Amino acid sequence: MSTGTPRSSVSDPGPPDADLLERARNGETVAYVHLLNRYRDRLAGYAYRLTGDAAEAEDVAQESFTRLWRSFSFNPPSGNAGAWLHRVARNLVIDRLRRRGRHAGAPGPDLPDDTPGAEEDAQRRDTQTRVRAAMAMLPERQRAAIALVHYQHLSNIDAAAQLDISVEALESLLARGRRNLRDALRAEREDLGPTEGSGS
Amino acid sequence: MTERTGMTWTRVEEILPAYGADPARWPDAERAAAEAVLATDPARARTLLERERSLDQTLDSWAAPAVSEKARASMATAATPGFISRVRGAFNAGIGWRGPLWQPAGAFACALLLGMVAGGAVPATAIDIAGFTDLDPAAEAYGETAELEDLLSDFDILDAEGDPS
Repeated sequence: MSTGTPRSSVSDPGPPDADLLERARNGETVAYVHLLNRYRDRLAGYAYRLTGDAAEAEDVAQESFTRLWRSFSFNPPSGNAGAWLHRVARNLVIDRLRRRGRHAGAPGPDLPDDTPGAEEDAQRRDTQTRVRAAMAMLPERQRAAIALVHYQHLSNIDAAAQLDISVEALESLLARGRRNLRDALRAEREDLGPTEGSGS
Repeated sequence: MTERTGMTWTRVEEILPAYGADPARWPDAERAAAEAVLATDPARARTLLERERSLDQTLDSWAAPAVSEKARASMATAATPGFISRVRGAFNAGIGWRGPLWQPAGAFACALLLGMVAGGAVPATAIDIAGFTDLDPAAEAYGETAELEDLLSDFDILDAEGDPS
C-alpha cells in the first residue's frame, strides 16, 4: 500500500483557495480574477490531455469556470477550487466525447511551429502526434490518471480523490496506462524497451 | 532487499512503472525509502530508471498549447459576480453577515409570515376595542338609565311606558 501527503495543487503564493472562494462567494471580483489566473492554464492543459483538441480544451475550461461562478449563488465548493474545477472539466470531457462517440484527440489542429529547424520541428511534431494518438487510445480512466499524475503533477492521493478511487486503484491505472503507452509508442522510440505484459 | 523502512525492491518495481522515473511524482511517504533502496544497487537502479525515464521524456514532448487570447478574454469577461453573490456581498458589508444568505432571507420571510398571521387576528381585536371604547359611554349611560328606570318603576314613579305617572 502506498501512502502520501497531498502536494499543493497551486504554485502561486497568493491567498489560499478557501479564502478566494469565500471572497468570490461574497461578490469580490478580484477573487474571481485570482481564481481564473491561478487555474486557467492548468485546467486548459488538463482538458487538452483528455480531449487532444486545443479548441475543445478551451471550451471545457471556460465552461468549468462558468459553472464555478454560478455555484457561488447556490452551492459553492469549499477548500480546493482546483480539485473542483478538474472534476468538472473531466465530467464535461466525458459528456462531450460520449455525445460525439469518438475517442479523445482523433481530430485536432497541429501545434504551432515555434522552434527553429524544420527537420527537428517535423520530428517533434511527429512525436507529439504519436503521443497524442497513444493517449487518445487509452481507456478514459487510464488517460485521466496519467493526465493528473504525469502532466498535472498531482500527488497520488489527490489524483485518487479526483477519480473517486483508492490510491491502489490509481496505481494500477497508472501502471496499465504507461504500459499501454509504451506499447503504442514503441515504434516511435526503440529505447522505450519491452513491455512486461499487456492489459488495458 | 528489505530496508528498515519496509521498502523493498518489489515495491520499487511497482512504483517506477506506475509513476515513472522522476521521484517528484512518487508517493511522498515512500520517496526517500525508494531512493534509499535504489542507491543500494546502482546498476539495477539505472536499468529501471532509464526505462521509465525514456517513456517520461516521450510523454513530456507532448506540450499543451497556450490558451488563446480570444479564450482568455472570454473567460476574463465572464469572471464577474452574479446577482446573488453581489447581494450577499452587500449583506456582508452592510450588516456584517457572513453566513448563508438563506438565513437572513428565511428570518425575513418568517417575520413577514408572522406579521400576516398577526394581521389577520389583530383587526378583529381592534374593532372590539374600538367598539367597546365607542360604546362604553352609551352603554354605561344606558345601564345607569335602565337601573334608574327600574328603581323608579319600583316606586311607581314611572308607568309601564316610562312616562311619569
